[in-house]
Amino acid sequence: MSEPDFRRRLINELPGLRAFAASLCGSLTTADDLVQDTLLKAWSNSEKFEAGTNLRAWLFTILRNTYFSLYRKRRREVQDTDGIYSQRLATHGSQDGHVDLADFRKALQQLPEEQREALIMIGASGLSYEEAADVCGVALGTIKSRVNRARGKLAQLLGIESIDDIGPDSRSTAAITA
Amino acid sequence: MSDKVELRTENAAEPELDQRVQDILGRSLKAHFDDILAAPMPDRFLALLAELEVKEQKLTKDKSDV
Repeated sequence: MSEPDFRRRLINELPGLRAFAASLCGSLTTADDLVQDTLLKAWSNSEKFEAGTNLRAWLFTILRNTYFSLYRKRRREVQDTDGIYSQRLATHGSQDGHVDLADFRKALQQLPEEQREALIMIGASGLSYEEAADVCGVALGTIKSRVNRARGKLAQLLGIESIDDIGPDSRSTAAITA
Repeated sequence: MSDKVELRTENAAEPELDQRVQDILGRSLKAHFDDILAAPMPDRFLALLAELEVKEQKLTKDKSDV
C-alpha cells in the first residue's frame, strides 16, 4: 500500500478511533494523546499491516495495547471522572428513549476496563465478536461474557435493571422513555 | 482446577436483560458515541500524518538520489 493510500485509510479511521479511545480513557484530552501515539506506532509499523486485512481491528489492537501498557497507570494517578468530556455537556435529556448522557458516561467509566472496551467494540465501534476477541486476545466466549456483564452492570448502575424500573408512571417516563 | 473455575466463570450464562432495557442501553451507547464523533477533530492528527508522509517520501527520494 502506498503512503498516501495508507494515510488516507488512517484518516478515515480517525473519528472511530478517537471515540473508542475516549470511551476507554474517560477523557477526550487523554484520548487525543492516545490516538496520537497510536498513529505514530501504526505509521512506523505500517509494513506489518497486510493490505486487505482489517485495518480497524489492527489499529484498535495498537491503541488498546498502548492504553493498557502506558495510560492505565496514569489514569490511576489522575482520576478524571469530573473531566469526562467536560467540554461536551450533556444537553439532551431523555426524550429519545435513552438515559441522560452524563449519567450514562459516569456509569460507563465505572465498568471494569475489559467490560467497557468489549461493550464499546461490539455495541458502538462495529467490530464483530470475532474481531473483538482477536483485538483483546481472548476467546469468543470471554468477549460475549464481558459484553453481557457490561450491560448488566450498566443497567444496575443506572437503575434500569428490570422493566419495572421503567414503569408507565409519569415520573419514570420523564426520566426514561422506553 | 483454577482453569476449570475460570472457564465456568467466563462461559457462565449471564442472565439476559429484558430486551427493552437492552434497547435503552443500546440507544444510550449510541448517543454517547455519536456525541464524540460529532466533536471537532483537532488538527494535530492530520498535521502529524502529513508530516510523517513527507518525511517518508523524502527518505525514499534521498535513497533513490544516491
